[in-house]
Amino acid sequence: MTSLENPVPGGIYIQNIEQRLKSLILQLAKDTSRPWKVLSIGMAPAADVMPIWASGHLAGITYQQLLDSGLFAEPPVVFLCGDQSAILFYILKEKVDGTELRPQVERILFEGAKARLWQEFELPRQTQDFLKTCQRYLRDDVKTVLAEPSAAKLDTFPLSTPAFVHAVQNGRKRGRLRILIVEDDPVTGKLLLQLLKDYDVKLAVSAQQAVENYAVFLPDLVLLDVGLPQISGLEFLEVLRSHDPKATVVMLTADSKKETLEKAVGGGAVGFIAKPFTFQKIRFYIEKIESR
Amino acid sequence: MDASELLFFDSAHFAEMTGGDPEFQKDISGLYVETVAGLLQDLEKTTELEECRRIAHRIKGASLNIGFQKLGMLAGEAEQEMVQENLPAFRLSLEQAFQEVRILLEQQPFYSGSAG
Repeated sequence: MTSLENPVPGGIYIQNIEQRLKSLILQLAKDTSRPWKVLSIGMAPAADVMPIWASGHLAGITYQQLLDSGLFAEPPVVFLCGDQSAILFYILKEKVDGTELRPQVERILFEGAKARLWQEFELPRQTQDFLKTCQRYLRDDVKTVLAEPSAAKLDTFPLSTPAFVHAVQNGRKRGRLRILIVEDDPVTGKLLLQLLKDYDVKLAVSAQQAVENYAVFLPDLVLLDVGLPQISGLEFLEVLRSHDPKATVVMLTADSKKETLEKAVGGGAVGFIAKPFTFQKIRFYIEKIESR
Repeated sequence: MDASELLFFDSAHFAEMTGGDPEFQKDISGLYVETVAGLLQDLEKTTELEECRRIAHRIKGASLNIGFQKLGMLAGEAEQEMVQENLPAFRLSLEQAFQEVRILLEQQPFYSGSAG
């Protein structure tokens, strides 16, 4: 039996790909609310068009690997939704090696971060051209829909891996104090990196990046901006504390509204640093941790 | 804090935040100018109020942290008080305040233009 290996570097997601995939498939199979079913393994960035074109891989996993994985009693019907790579995979499989995928595509939906990227930072015209290309190859009744990016959701998988759970249960390694800064403003991020250069520091610019960094870095202290884009600092705080109740989080904010303070304290933050911050303000919390 | 008590540029705060390192001061001031210039361009193009407030919030945070108190405070006012009617006025006043920031920075020995 072939194992589902992922030759495309995909960070933490490479771990336990089989379990993740299986769980995803089961979850989707049970979800009757969707007008289409999705086998979405969209880990390959849109920029990876060429490797996908060349290899026929879907996010590093070929259809043959799916078939050989033993996860399916019979060949899975693949419903495609999502990114460029998934759609290209479908087209290429049909056109190049003639694999009988016959996905029952009801629609192709560009959604989430990639749609946003395509629309805002890449070439909208290319997106439209690509939609036309899709329609050339798909059945006539298949609709291609360029959807509004859906509400951002935090993928907390990295905080659920056995390795992370084990690390949390067994305590943090001793050594240089580790600090995770979660701040989307590049100026503030750079200032903090400079101020904290004597510590082991990582910078995340979004809640999602913070999840991924936290899982591998397991910091002693998180300096968390309240006003992150898409998923706010307060939402991230809630998720983080539910996975690691011992997480020490200090919020950074340019507004000191009572409501925000209350939410942060209620969510388990140990403190607040109002902008403009100084090293002294941060040092206060560092000393508290070091004296434990 | 009353507006009259604010420094246009809190150089002591800037020195503290940068550790007095001229090379870092050059980098961070260039990054600041590039970032705020980009945000002001976004503000010019955006009509959606919530997005405008978000941009003002970001200008506020970056400005206060680097020591540009008045621009930070003005951006804070914009964030709090911006409505469709006063949006053009806030755009203009933020742009003007930013031009003053640029002029002041250009007089600093460490400054060598935006990072971009």
